[in-house]
Amino acid sequence: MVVEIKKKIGIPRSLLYYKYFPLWKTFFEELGLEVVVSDKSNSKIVEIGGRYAIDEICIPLKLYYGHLVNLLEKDIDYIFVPRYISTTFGTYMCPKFLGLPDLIRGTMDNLPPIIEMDVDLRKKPKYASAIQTGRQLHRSLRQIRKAYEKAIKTYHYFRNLMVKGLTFQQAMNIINKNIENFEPKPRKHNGVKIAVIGHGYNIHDPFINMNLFKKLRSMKVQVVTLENLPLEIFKKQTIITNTLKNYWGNEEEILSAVNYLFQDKTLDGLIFICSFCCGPDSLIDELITRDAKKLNIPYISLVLDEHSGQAGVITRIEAFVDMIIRKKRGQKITKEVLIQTPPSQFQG
Amino acid sequence: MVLVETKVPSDIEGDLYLGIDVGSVSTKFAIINDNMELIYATWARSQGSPIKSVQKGFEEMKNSLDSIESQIRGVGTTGSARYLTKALVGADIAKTEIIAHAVAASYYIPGVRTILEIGGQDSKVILLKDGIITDFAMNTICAAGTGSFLDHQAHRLGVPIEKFGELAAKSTVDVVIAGRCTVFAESDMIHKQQMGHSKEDIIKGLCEALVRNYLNNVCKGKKLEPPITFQGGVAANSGIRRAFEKELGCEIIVHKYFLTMGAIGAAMLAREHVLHEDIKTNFRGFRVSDMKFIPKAFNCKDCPNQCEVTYVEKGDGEIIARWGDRCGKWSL
Repeated sequence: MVVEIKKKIGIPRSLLYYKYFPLWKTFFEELGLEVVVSDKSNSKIVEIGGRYAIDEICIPLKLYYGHLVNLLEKDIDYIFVPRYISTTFGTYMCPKFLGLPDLIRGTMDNLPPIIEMDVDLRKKPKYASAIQTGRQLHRSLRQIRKAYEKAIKTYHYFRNLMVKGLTFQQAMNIINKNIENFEPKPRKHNGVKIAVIGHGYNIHDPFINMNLFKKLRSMKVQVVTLENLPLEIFKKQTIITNTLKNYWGNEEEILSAVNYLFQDKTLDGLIFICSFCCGPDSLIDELITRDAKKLNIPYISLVLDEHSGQAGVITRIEAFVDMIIRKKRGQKITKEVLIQTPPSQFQG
Repeated sequence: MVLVETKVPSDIEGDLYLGIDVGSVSTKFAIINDNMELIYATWARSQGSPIKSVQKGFEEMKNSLDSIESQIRGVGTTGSARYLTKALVGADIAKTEIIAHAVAASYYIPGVRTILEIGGQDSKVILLKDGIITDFAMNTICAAGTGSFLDHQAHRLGVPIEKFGELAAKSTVDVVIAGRCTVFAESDMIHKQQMGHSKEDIIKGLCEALVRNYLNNVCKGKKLEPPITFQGGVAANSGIRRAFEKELGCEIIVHKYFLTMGAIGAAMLAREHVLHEDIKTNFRGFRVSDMKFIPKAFNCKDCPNQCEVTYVEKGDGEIIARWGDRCGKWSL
């Protein structure tokens, strides 16, 4: 019997991996390829990434380079570098996503053939992007159609798992183990509910965000991310003012999520994670700050880069959570334990 | 060491709570009783290791207050070395400086709305309403608005930092110094010296530069409502206080306990915690000063992260704290 050796396609565990990986994985596997993912982000990947990328760029993109180099050690035949231009009507992705394959080609010359995928929902349907990618691998239209349909199905399954309350990692485990029809049990919480919002590649990469989720869980906080929210809230375009519409794709999603969360009466606080140097994020940070202030919702934004000290991040998070807990407990705590106003002779 | 407050040991009755604030530059101790009265408070510059500074503080307490040791019902720690200190002394809770400062300030200055806290290596602003923290901020990527900035400049000018306030008061001319960055502040300061400005005017300019930097960086977009109080080591500097008053247009309250507010807050939080949870304290006692603690470290080679794992061993070989690993397999 002849054993067919599958060609390997490498996917960096970086950027839109944290959004579309189940889709990509199913698509390439259905086309008969073996999908290889780079290692989890670590100091070495950050260091190597920093060497390739220009200094002024955001840390997620620096990490992308690091992950590409990491993949080269894994003996791959192709490397997948998608070009996401627009994923919802009326918006654009950040320019770095628009030019990603060109950026990579321009700075690295030891790569295996790059497989591209242009996603531009302003101009062409998703299926057209699938054909473009499948054709580069010399697959027939029938094969591509079948792979595409399965990939979309997997992606919806993955998204629904998270809407039902799974974390990114839990949903990913189910996809990677090919478990079908998984029904997550609804979990009961009766503590502090904090939403952590931002780009998937900052939120779900514990290396970039310094294990923020572990810290929050150790403080017994219920964490909500953008992906846990109902899908229909992302379908309407957000309006900033009567004349101003949002232009950025990823930020559109963040703003929709924040608008929805700000109407949730059970929400105790919001943490916004963004990377240093991210232009679009710096704009919406300001918008969210203003709304949070108006609505009196505790809000903090954490700006991260490769030089961020862990101590500063942890102190901020601890103080933020303690602030919320004390506020909530303020009404409940027994009188004698409450800190009372001192007699006048102690007032300085 | 500065003795901020002390009462005669024979007068001290009832349960006591100890708060320890170990920051980057100084170590503070405070003891309160069940009625929240301050019994004892000290401030000292940390010399070398935080372990030594904490032990030294205990030695002083052992000498002057040995009889009250058994009355201590709860211990709280705060400051950047709060976890290490908690492990060393067997504290009951470790809380951030933000919470500790807010709790103590809202006790001593009822109705306080804004706390400006400037310490050795970081600066914070805390906003409160009805004794509850509503917002806070810390300096992020720049140390230009902190005590170390002033320490640096004082060193360059050859003036002891303690004299800063006094000298700034003698200034007659307004000199604007670029305070965005310590490096550029030095360039600007040298330029102003070469232009013939007096030391006093430059010092006042520096104080104003720090305040501008703090307000622009840390307090960005926040509404600072009076009453405003100023805490942390830099509050000792009257030049900075006057610069704040000039910039904010209102009185800045510096409470007599400003140096040890964090430690007092930690003691109050320990009291609250022990009473609320109804627990017995883990406190090792004043003998912490005689115990042997050996800090050690190694590089974990198990993955490319190569984390620096540090740990503290007690004299008998027991490991009382271990951290520094990203994955959590070493953490204790």
